[in-house]
Formats: sequence, structure tokens, C-alpha cells
Amino acid sequence: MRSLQILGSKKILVSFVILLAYVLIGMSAPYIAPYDPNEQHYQDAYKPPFFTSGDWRYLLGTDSLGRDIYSRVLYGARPALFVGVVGAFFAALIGVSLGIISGYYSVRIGEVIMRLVDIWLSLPAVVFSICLIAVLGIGLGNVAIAVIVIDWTRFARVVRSEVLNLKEREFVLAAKAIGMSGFGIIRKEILPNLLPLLTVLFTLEMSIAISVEVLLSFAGLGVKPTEPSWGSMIAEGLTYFRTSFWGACIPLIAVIIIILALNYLGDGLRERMDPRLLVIR
Amino acid sequence: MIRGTYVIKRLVAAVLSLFGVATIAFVLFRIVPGDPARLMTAPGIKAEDIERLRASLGLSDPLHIQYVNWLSGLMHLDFGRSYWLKAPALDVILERLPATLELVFASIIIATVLGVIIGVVSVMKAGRLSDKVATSASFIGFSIPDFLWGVLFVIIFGGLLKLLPVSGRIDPAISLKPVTNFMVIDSILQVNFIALQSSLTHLLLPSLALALGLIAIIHRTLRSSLLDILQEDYILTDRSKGLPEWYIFFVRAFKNGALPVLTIIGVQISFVIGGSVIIELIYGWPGIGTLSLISVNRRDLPVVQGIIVIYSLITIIINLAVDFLYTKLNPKITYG
Repeated sequence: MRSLQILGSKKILVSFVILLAYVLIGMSAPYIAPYDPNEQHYQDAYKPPFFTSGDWRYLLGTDSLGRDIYSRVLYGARPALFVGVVGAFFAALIGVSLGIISGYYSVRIGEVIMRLVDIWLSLPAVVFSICLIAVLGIGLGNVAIAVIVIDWTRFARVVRSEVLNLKEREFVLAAKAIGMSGFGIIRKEILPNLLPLLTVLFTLEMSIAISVEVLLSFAGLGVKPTEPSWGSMIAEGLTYFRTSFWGACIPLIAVIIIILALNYLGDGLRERMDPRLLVIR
Repeated sequence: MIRGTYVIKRLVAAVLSLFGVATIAFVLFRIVPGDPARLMTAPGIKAEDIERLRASLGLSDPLHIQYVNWLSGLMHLDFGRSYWLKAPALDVILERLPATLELVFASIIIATVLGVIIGVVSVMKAGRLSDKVATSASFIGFSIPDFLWGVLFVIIFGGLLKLLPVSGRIDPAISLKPVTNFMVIDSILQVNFIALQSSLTHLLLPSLALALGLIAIIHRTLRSSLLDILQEDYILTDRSKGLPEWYIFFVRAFKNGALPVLTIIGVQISFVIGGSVIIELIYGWPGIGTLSLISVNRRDLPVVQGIIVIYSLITIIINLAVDFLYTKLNPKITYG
């Protein structure tokens, strides 16, 4: 239906624009932020945003140490997007590779890998990530590692079942018949057909990776304490939420928007992909 | 008989999973930087005293000995002694477990009730505005992670509207004898309505935050499965037989439509349990979530390992239960 089509692409368009905006903001934060995110103005602490206080010096107010929330929110996009992209990318790399291996090659290896996935999944994700950070130490890179180590299973499972399907399709059988090597088949026939699925999964994984970064930073286990992050801003804002809830509210809204955008993007992409599971030859 | 071998196979798989988890829990903390003994002592202490402490904690034994001790201890339900709290790790964990379980159970109950209601309404008004609204709300409920909902509720209901308490399990001024350590149950058992009201209001926000994601999933699953079933032939036959619509819906369709929901609840429970950790942090809830955060910081290895094993045990048990329940309810499934 015409309207559905427009709706589908509107979702994708809007979400993608939002995602792009966040990336641009993250990359240009040092140039567009009015203040240094760690600069403290003690006498101006706990100020609400300009529409409540009328003070245009601090657009979105200040936190308990007088740091400009607007600048900190802009900078906060950097750790979130870093973990989002890097974490999702490598989780995908590992998960997809293992998924293809367990789906395409012998059943035995596949079973072993899936058994591993099952054990992995019975470990509580949050506790496991906390323990990983305890082992590796605080820091963005380690947060990304935590995301990768915990969430590769998401890709592995889905990719495996999809590969099992694709293996029986006529173009794969045809490729086998003309003597194409296993690796060649994977490269030319299977991977291109996995791409739509992978894009959807990737956006989902990004949103999860960002939530993990926010969660760990919230618990004090993410970014270094000197770095601004939405998670640590929320935690700090919660300490005085009865006086002024804006300190926690602003970074919360920032996170919610990007997460919703990523999920809508994935959803929109999935809607477009489904009836058009194009077979790429 | 075939059923019997299936049961045994699943139990063996479960035990193996648990074994794998225990191993991971062990390995994880043996490669840790951060010596538990050093963390327990003042900075000026002599090296040989630290070594004595480590030996008393069993940390100087060769790794494989520690591993064997850990595993054999597990089989006797001995998780070792907490380094910090001078008590068996298992006791420490079990003391705080009811708090977490109460939170998790409350979330699951809320999620199931609300999810089913909204799902049923969605199906009955399929395609109309209320359905679209419910589906969008579901999407948002599912996308935003539970701890963010937790923070949002604190801000809105605690800060803005000042309607509900956001800290602790019960008003500290109320005195309640800890019998089961489940606040709600204890309140009922001791017929203390003030305590009951207080414990329920304290339980409401954190469990609702945890439940939202599950509500969304239940709604979506129930909706799609019911809509599918309502197209089936036997529903058509029932209609032509003249059975009343409500009967068809609730008795015939619902029973079968509920099955996928049951499976999905089983799958999601481990995520609810995982999410409870940060929710506990946000709401000052004294459960094993906060215990795990504290213990990881202090490198209280027995407690941390114990918590990991307990979490996984709960997940595995619930998965087993859901599996078996499913095989009982669905006569079509084969035991393979």
C-alpha cells in the first residue's frame, strides 16, 4: 500500500537524520560547545535551563558543580557513539563469523558453538559486564569490549539460522554444482543475502551498545570520572533530583532520543526488507 | 518413556550449563588485577602478612586446586566464606535474595497481567486507533532499557509529582518482623496494613520499570499469535456452529495463543533478573544486585562467584520449568 511505503521510509528517513545529527554533534562537540565540559562555576551551580531561569549563559542549566549541562550533553555523545559503533561492529564481526561457520560447515561444530551460545546466554548480562569491567578496569575501550564479549551471541544465533536457510536455496546449490569453493559461496552468495538482516541487527546492536555504555557509566564503571557521559550525568543529576530534576532529565532525554531513533531505524529497515528479500546473484 | 529420556537429556544439559557457568565465574576472577587480600588491608602492611592472609583465604593454592575446591564446594552447597562479611557466602547471598526475588516476581506478575490485557484489547480492536496506540506504546516500552525507565519514574513520580517513594523497600519508621524477608508476604502474615501499603508503594515503581519491556513483548507476541489463530479453520467452524464470540475468543483461541507468550516470558525472565541489578541501584533496593556491585568492587570472590552461579541457576531452573510446562501444554511437540 502506498501509505505504508511512505510510512516505512519516513521512519527510516527521520531516524537516520537524527542518528546523523548525533554523529555530527559528537564529532564537532569541541568546536560547538560553549564551555569546557569540566569547567566548574561554583557560584552558578544547580541552575535550571534557560526557559526556566532566564539565564542564557547556561542554555540547559548547570549541575551540582556548576558545569554547563549543554556542553556536557554535547560531549556525552562521544563515548556513547564510540561504544555504539565499535561495540556493535566487532560484536557483529565475531557473531557473524561464528554464525556462518556454525551454519555452513559441519553440523558438529555448529552444535558446539550453539551450546557455547546457550551457556553464554544463561549468564546474567549485567552482572557479567560488571565483572568484566572489574577485570579489565574502567574505560571506554573496556566498555566496548564488554559489549562485544557479551552480545556477539545475538548475531551468531540469527545468522546461523539464516545461513541454514540460505544453504538450501537454489542459487547456493547451483554454485556448488559448478564447483564453487565453500569460501567463495559464502563470499558471493550467502553474505550478500545476509546484508539486509545484518543492517537491521546492527542498528539494534548499536542501540543496545549505547544503553550498556550509559548503564555502566551510570554505575561509575564506564568512562573515566573526568570524562562527560550521559550515564554519569544522569547518576549525578539523580543525587539532587528533588531540588532540580533537570540535571538528570536532560541527559536522559538525549539518550532516549538516540535509542528510539536507532530502534525505529531498525524497525523501518526491517519493514522494507521483509517483502523484498532480494536474492542477489 | 520417550518423555523420560527427554527429561533426562534436558536435566543433563542444565547441569552442564551450570558447570560451564561455575567455571566461567571461577576463571573470570582469577585473571583479575586487584588482589583481594591487599584490598582488605591497610596500605602499610607487610608483604608476609598479606601472604598469610592470602593463604588463609585459599588464594595461594595452585589454580587447579582452587578450582577443584570451588567445584566440590559447590556440590555441597558451600560457596566459601565471604572475605569481607565473615560469614558463609551462601548465607550472605540468601539473606538478600528475597528482596531481589520479590522485585522480579512483582515485575513478572505486573507484566503478565498488563501485557495480556493490553494484548487482548489490541486484538479485539485490531487495526483501530487503540491498537495503533498500544503498538506504538509497546515499541517505546520495549526500546527504552529498563534502567532508563527506572530513572524516568524517579524523576517524574519522585521528583516532579512527589507521588511515590523512590528509595528502599519500606518506610524505615515502620517496624516489621522479618519472617520470610518478602516484605509483602510478611506484611500480610502479620496483618500489618500500614506495612503492606508501604511495601507495595515502594515496590511499585521499580517493578513497573522492570516490567515495561516485558509488557511490550507480551503484548506484541500475544497480538500476533492471537491474530494468526483467529484465522484458523477451527475458529471458523466454531463460529458457524453458532458459539458465542466471547467463548471462541477466550476459551478456544486464547488457550492456544497463550503458548508462545509463555515461552517468551521464560526467555525474558533472565533479562528481567539482569535488569534488576541497576534498578536496585537506582531505588536503593537491598537485593543481590547491589550486593554484587559492592562485592565486585571489593573483590569478595566467594560472594561474586556465588552470585553469578545463583543468577544462572535461577535462569536455568526457570527455563527448564517453562520448557516442561510447554511440552505439557502443547500436545503437538515431539520429545527430541
